Amino acid sequence: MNFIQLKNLTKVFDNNEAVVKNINLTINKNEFVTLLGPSGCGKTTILRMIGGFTEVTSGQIILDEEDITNLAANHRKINTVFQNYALFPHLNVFENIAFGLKVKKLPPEEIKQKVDKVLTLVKLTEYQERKIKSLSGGQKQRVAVARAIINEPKLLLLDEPLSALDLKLRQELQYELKDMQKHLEITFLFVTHDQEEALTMSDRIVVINNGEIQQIGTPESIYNEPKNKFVAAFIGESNIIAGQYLGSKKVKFFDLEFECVDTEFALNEKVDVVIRPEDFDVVSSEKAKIVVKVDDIVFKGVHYEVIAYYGDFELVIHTLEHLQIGKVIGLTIDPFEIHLMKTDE
Amino acid sequence: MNKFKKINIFALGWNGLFIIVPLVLMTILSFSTTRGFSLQEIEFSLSNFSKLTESFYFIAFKNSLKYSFITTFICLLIGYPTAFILSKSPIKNKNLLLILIILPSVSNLLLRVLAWEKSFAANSILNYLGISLNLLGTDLAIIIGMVSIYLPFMILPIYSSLEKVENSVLDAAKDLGATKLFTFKKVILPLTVPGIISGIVLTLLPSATTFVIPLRLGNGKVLLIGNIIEQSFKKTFNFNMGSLISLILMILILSFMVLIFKYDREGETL
Amino acid sequence: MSKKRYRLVSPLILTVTFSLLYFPLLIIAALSVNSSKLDYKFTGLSWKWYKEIFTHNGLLEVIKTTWIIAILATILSTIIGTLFALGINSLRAKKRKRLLMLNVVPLINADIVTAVSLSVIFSFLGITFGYPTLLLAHVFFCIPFVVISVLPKLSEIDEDIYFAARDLGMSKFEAIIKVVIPHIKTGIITGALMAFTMSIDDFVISYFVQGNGVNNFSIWLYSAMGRKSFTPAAYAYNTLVTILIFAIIIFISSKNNIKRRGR
Repeated sequence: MNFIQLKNLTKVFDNNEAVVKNINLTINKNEFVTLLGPSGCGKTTILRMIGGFTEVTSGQIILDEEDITNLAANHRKINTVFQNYALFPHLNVFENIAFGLKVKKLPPEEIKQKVDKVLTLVKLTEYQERKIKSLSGGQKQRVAVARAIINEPKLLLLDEPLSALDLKLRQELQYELKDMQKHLEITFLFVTHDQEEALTMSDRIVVINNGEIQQIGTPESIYNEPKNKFVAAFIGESNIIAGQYLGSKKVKFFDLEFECVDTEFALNEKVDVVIRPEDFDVVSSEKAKIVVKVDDIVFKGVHYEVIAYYGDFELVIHTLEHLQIGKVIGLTIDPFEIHLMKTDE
Repeated sequence: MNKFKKINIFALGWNGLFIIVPLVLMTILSFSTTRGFSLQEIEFSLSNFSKLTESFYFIAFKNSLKYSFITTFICLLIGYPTAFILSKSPIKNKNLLLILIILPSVSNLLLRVLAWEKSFAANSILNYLGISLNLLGTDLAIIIGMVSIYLPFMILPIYSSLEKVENSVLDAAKDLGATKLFTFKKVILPLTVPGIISGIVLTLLPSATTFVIPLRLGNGKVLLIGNIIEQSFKKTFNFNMGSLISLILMILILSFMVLIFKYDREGETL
Repeated sequence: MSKKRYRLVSPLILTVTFSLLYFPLLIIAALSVNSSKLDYKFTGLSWKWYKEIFTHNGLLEVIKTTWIIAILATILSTIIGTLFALGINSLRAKKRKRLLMLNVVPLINADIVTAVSLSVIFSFLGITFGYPTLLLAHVFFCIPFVVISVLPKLSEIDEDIYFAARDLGMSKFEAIIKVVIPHIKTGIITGALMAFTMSIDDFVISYFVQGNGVNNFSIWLYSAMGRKSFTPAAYAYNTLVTILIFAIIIFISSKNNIKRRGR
């Protein structure tokens, strides 16, 4: 089911700057895939190449067994939801949504019927006569989605479609988009720099940095088993500690020995140890190997974020307990919560 | 910055004195035949209005309409594609292109008309290139002169409205399957209507009211409204008739302005 | 239109446009270096008309008047126009639109109607025709150019920077001079340049409010065209002014460009 295939996709701009380097990616039908990375990492360029707005320097794009690398954007069965919506300011809501169908020269009754259906789907039926200018950000976003999905594309590209909205609306629309994707059976390729958004919505996440894929996986695997420092640091908060693999599910860091579950490392290989802040258990100092001193505490709503020092090393700990600044505490970690990664060097 | 609101009182007074008061004075003058400006001696009369029906005035109005419409049409025909090509130009410093369009207007208008006059003459400097245009006094000469002088007024507002069309909107049209022609007809053209309207008004008005161009390139045989106003104020000193015609023009112009501002709220394409 | 056809047609259109725009300038330049006074005979290159600008009876006088009026009108209209723009910018919605419309009437209005209006009001007020009427008229029609150049820059800036400056202890005057003006500087410069260009070239309005023998270059030209009093030095003068203003525009625009790139 290799519905979409990117083969060695590369983009080099006129100034010889390579923004997308040799990307290989396969997306299945009806999958919700997110390209996640910091701004300037090349994710939008990948999207624009798939959409047909940016020329491909080298490599191939294959959609449903058809090579579309050099096909003009208007001939691709792909539609896009643009970052700032890119709605037609001179047309009203109905006319914006109907645009693609008018291009196809469908009869007016059929257009009306289809638009009405999509308007119901995005809950904008009462707004169909409204000018784009008079809509709120969330409404514009819905029009942009409606305008794209009405064409029943094989693939829908979404370029940071929620980035201009406030937090609450963004969360609401995340669920709506996810629902819509399941309901419509359209493959979604979503671009965002917001890790939480990516974790909430995606079937699979592609983490990108410097124009290269860092890791591909489900939200759980990306979060729990980051492949490298960049992924670990970019997704969620984490403590990354230099360590050494001692063989037979043992790892050494802070000059202490711990049990772990990873096995795929060589004996005495240097590794990076990732421990998520919520995976520490706070105990009294005599009951633990790691003994730290609390330096700062910030209340975060559900939990406290504690900054503590093991010698000179700063650790971030999430705990429900209220601790005192200056207190000496012990930390324990379950073996399966100690994740080892290859070092970058 | 509410502190600056007080300035508006001065602005209102200034514009009132130089725009509104003259309108009132011109209205009074139009309804009278008394020469000069002493308001005490003013006598009400409609004779200026009845004179308007004389063929002399009728021909001038007709000529003004004819030349200005043809000029505006040609300017639009050349100006829109020019603005379009310039706005799509890959050159990074687009200001330079704009400067090239504006620059000829820096040269004195009368001298530019004179240059056309000299070139249209049977005996001209162009004879050295084996060309003798011999167009002086023809409609073509007047139209070429007008287009040459007023073309920038058409190009600039259209260009600025084209620049305002966002690339993402064009991408969106392409994304939805539109061909270039479809995108132009259904997206670019409607979005540049404010620029087109400003361009039409800014070309139509000066070409309908110029008196130098018909005088010099029409060999003095062609009269436009501008020539009549010039004659009444500078030659026959019939301020009353001149005021009446100016007033009629002013009313037409103000309705044009309302039209521009209906489409272009901040007057940005001017 | 296909790409191929577009590539064929666009140079054609640009050629038509630029020929129409630049043909008269070429003729003027050619006649300015023609040694003959007869404009249909080219008898060889000569700089004598450039020298005659400074010796011709009458021409030098009107050039002086033109420049004095243009410089004074530019200074005054730039100050007044900037203030007007600040005023308009403080208004919202309908009021803003109405006052803006009133302010730009002279911009859209036909020259000749503005000319008649001013001539009527000056006569009515009994202002002596000559320098005062010329200057007042020029200031009047230059102001809108400054207003439309400054206003967009003003609406771009965050209103709070003025209040921030006041909050940090600046007086109203200081806040305007040190905070607001630098933000709208490019608008002011553009406006001033447009005002100067309009003033130095104006004919119709000057012609209607002129009097007592005070003439600018255009008025002199209008009366001299096709007469013996005409001198090709006018071509020479005009060519010089065109080059000068072109150089100023290029200088300012390249300076702005460098600044923008630097950011």
